[in-house]
Amino acid sequence: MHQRRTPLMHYEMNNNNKISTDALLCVSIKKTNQIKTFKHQTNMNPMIQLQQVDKIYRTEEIETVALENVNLDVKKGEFLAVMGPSGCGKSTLLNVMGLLDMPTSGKVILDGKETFNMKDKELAKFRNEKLGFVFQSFHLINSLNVLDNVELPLLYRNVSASERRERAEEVLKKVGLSHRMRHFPSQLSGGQCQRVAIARAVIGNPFIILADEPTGNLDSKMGAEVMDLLHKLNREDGRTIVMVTHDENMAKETGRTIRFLDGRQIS
Amino acid sequence: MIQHIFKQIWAQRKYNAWIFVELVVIFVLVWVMMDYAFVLLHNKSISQGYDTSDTYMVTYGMYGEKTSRYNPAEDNSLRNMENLQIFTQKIKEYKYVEVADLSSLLWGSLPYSGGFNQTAILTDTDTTNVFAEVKNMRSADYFRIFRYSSARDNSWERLAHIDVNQNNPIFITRMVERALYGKESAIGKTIQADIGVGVQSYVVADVLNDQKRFDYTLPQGAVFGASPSVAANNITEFAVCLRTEPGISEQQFISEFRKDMTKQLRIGNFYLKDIQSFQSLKEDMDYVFGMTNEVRLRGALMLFFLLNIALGIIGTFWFRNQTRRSEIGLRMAVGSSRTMLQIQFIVEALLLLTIAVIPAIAINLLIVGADLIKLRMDVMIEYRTVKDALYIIQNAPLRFLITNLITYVFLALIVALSAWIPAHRASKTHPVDALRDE
Repeated sequence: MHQRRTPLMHYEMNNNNKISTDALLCVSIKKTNQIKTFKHQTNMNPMIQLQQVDKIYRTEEIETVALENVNLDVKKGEFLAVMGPSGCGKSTLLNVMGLLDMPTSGKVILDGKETFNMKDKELAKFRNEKLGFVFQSFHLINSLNVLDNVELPLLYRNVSASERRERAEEVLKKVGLSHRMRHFPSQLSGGQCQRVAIARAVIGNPFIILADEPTGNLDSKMGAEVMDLLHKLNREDGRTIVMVTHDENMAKETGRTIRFLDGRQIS
Repeated sequence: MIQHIFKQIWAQRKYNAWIFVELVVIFVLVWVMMDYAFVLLHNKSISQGYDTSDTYMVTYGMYGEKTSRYNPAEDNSLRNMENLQIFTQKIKEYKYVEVADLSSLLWGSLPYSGGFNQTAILTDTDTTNVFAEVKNMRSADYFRIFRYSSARDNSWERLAHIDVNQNNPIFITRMVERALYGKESAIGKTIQADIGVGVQSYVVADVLNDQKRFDYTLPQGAVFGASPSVAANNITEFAVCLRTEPGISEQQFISEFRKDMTKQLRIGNFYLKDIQSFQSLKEDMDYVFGMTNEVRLRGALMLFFLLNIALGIIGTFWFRNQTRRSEIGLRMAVGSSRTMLQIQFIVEALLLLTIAVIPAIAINLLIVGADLIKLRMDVMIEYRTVKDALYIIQNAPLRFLITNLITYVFLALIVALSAWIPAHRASKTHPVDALRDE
């Protein structure tokens, strides 16, 4: 017998009374700059759209609902923070958005393209060209030096070695690591590793950067440095950023915050 | 991409060094096995040079004085010669028999007899001896029965019409021709040899295709000439060899032959002693010479060894790539397709193997140079090149190249499979699952 597990059933009321993200956004916008922002919102196509997305992990005996009926629009150039307690589905949401995981049901539309029917090659191309990932644990390849790690997305785009090198050096300069290009990840601090990961995420000029607790493994000073970098990318380069965080202060610095509980978006 | 892979191999050089050493050792060991297997299979693939299907040997006995069937009136040289002729004639006339003739049992003239008789051959112009196996025959029916064929047109029919008892003709095989005259034709040339009647001059009537005694050896040079005649003093040193019409099963023929001929072949003091197919004689000879067991045993050991090596390599690369699942996830996250990823891991493993092959081949060369490999499957071949060689394994550089190439291909397949399986499994999952394995 399958046992459907929704760990905190007493939150049903929240679920039933859930307000859509768009509505929430409208409310918050109306409070501040009603006319101008509303116009801005209706004229812009969403960069990321999640429609009725469910993600359920099934084993032989147990079924765990990681995401339930998630509807979410993220506009181009938006900096969105995703908050919630551990295990509430934040990272799963990010993985689904980033095509690293497939939803059990529902639609994921990125840059106006429905991703459900994409084949492996298309998915790979999409991830390569449109998405950049920053992970909590950096996910750098230890056997490659900083330059080679940063170059990685361009490797799969058939960019020439000299151009790869040039662009990697440029982006490492931007994140302040031009003096560590020949170092290996094991020779860098956590903050430096995360900056390398950010450099890798942006080298291919993706529209969207998905950051999963990018400061989670860093001390406050390094965390602030990384946040500065992400804000810079959002403000100056106009990149859409979705960031999972536990830190209220960091979330406040972003344009919008949504909250999750037990796989459901609660605000 | 290749440059990127090289960088990664170099960056992981401490770990890869173990795999590299393992691959070098394995390459050398597998090459020794492959060389052995190559020589065996190469030799096996060479035609026997004659055809013993549907052929039988009928042996006869003569009643002695103390047996009840002994007939003293028939026991004289004249009657014995006449009776043997009748004995042979009756077999020739038996249903199913296409051709039959008396053949000498001595000197290894018959296929699979186990005997071996060698003679030195000299040409008019060269005093260097060339050794060849001697095959004696009474008539050209010998060619008809065993289908020894001419190297010129692969025909046995033409040979079967030659009178071998006129003008001292001799037949030599291609190997002897090459050894005596290089690439020149030997037909019409005079050679000296002792084929059982002392050293005499013979004219080469034709060159036959090479023939071999055992399945797994190279052909040996041979000369075919008329044997000493049947006489009263050697009457028991012959047997009747025959070929049946095609399509008659061995069991059927032997059973019917015994039933029909046992009484009929009691001629004078002669009686039918036994009938055996040459195929069964071959099985007996292979068994007696230990060929069957040796090949089976060595084959089994080789398979066992290669299987273990394959499993060892698969285990090594499996473990290596299994520990890189997180990297696989990351590569997919930054834009590698599943196919690309699998190709990358396979290429990486093949590059490692290719780098290991360089010192391994050098070691193999040293092994050959130090004469450590002596394949006694053929006495002529010990990794030395034979001038104007007819067979690949007589050409040492070529044989070395081919066996190393086979070894490389064999190991490349295993290595590619070993790299592909875990990469394939990891890439089949969603990138996020692979990333979680860090």
